[in-house]
Amino acid sequence: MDSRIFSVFRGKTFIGDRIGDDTIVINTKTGAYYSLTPAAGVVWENAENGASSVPRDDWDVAKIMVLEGILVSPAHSQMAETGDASIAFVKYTEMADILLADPIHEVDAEGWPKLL
Amino acid sequence: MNPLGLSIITPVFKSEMTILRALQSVSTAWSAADTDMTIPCEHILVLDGPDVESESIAEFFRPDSSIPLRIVHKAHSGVAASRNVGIGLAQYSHVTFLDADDEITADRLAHASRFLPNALIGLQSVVYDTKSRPPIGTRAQGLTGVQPNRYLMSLVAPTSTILELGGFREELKLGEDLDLVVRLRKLGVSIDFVSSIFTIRHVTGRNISLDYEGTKSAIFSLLRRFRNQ
Repeated sequence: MDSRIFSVFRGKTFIGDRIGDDTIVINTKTGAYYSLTPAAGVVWENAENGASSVPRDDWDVAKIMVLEGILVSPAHSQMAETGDASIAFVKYTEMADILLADPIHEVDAEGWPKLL
Repeated sequence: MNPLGLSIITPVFKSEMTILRALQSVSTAWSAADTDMTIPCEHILVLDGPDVESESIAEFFRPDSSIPLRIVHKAHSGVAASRNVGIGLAQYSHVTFLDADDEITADRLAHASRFLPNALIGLQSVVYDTKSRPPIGTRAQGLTGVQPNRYLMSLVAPTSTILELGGFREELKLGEDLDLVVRLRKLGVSIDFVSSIFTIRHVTGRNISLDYEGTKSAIFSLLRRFRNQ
């Protein structure tokens, strides 16, 4: 990716909760959840409030989040696989089936549960 | 070990408008369950504080009940504590839970009659008794119907396993059902999701599951508790 501006949005299927530096996001389609690093938490919080331009220092973190689908970026197609995901998050999948059975899977930007 | 059978536990709190329907559903389901054997069954109503009207309705219904109906009193302390009282009194090998505003189905009893060592969770169908937002955990189809989906509180599980876990966490006001299921998983209990409707869930306008933000917060709190275990 070679751009002076790296804009990101919240991934449509993700919801999150942030307390201090501790941010957890859930992929409501897969049931996986993620514990974000403090840097990724800041990127998430900015994106959750609308389109956000990522500071250059956080580009690697944001790229990993985009490739995971946590964030969406117009530059996604230009991104190659990047490095260690642990700079952005720890991913948990062991409760995915249970979380998908729970109401959280109906959450979306318009509120939840989602009307079809 | 308790004898093979199913104890149905219903917490009751100001449920006079719906309790008769719940009681009738148990009797109807028990009579209609397509099983090779008659499943020994009891229905335990745990009155969560004084509720003269609900108790009167239950006593009125008792002679018509297809299965033994037990009515237990306790001081008001919430739905989780009420379920735990019921679990502690359960006489049979397996327990399941029915809210006082919902209905149980014959399919749940039929699956329960397999007396499996693992946990079963079925689907819910939703009926609107009043105009309301859909409860959490449901997928609405326009204003007329809701697509059946999994419902954690349709859980059927061995009584001994639930007791081993200590039952529901009484300090949780929301998300106590998810918490219990996650702890079952952490204990190594297999959880089977069944594609049969176990619960007919009624939207009465008083459903606690209409507290969207509270439930969302409870779920994230749960993830924080469990992520490093």
